[in-house]
Amino acid sequence: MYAAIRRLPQVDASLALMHLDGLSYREMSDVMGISENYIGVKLNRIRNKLADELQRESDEFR
Amino acid sequence: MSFDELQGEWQSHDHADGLQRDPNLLLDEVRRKYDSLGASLFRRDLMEVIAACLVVAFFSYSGFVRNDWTLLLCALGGAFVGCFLIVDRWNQRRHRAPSESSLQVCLQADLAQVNHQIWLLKNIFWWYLLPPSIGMIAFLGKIAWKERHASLLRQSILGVFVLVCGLVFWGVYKLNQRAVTKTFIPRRDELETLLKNLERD
Repeated sequence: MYAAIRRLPQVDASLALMHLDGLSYREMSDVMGISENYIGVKLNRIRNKLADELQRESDEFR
Repeated sequence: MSFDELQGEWQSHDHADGLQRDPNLLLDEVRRKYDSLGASLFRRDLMEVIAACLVVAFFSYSGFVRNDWTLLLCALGGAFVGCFLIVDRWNQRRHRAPSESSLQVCLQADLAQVNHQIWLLKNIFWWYLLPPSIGMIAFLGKIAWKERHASLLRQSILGVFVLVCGLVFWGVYKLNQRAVTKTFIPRRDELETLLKNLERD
C-alpha cells in the first residue's frame, strides 16, 4: 500500500493520504483549493488506480 | 480488500515505517519552498538597493567635487537599478499568496514568482548591466581621450582596467543565466507539473 501510494504523482499521493486519514471532501477542498466535486472525481480515479496496483501486486505474489 | 476496508486498516495502523501521514505535507512543502525563495529574493533585492544607494552617494559626491558629468552618469545608472528593483518589488507584492492559502493558490503564486525571476534574470543586461555601463563607458572613454598621448604603461593600465570591468560584467551576466537554467527553470517545471496534476488529469 505504501509503495503504491509512493508511486502516485505527488498531488494524488497527498489526496490519497488525506482520504485514508478520513478527512472530508470539504477539508480536502480547503487544503487543495479545488472544488469538492473535483476532489470526488480525483479520489475515484486514485482509488481505481490503487486498487489496480494492489490487485496486480497480489496476482504477482500468488 | 475494498478501499473502505483499506481506510479502516490504515487508520488503525501506527505508520512507523516511514510514509508521513501529515495531510498538509505537500502544502507545507510547497509553502516552505515558496517562503524560502521569497525570503532569499528579499535579501538579494535589499542588498542590491543598499549597494545602489552607496554607488549613487559615492559617484554623486565624486562627480560634484570633480565637476565630472561622467561620474554623475554613473550615479544615475546606480539610481536606475535601485529604483527599478523597488518598483519591481512593489508591483510583485500583489501576487503574494496569503499565509493560509490553499495548495492551488500557493502553487500559482510560486509559479508567478519563479516566472518573474526568470524574466528578470534573462533581461538582466537591460536593467542591471546596461545603465551603470553607460556611465562607466563615458568615464573610461573620457580618461582614454585624456591619456591618448600618455605613456604606454598608463595606457596599458587603463586597458587592463577596461578588461577587468568587462570581465566582471560578463561574469555577472553568466552567473545569472546559470541561476535561470540550474535553479529557476527546474523549479518552474516542478511547479507546472504539480499544478497540472492538481487542476486536470
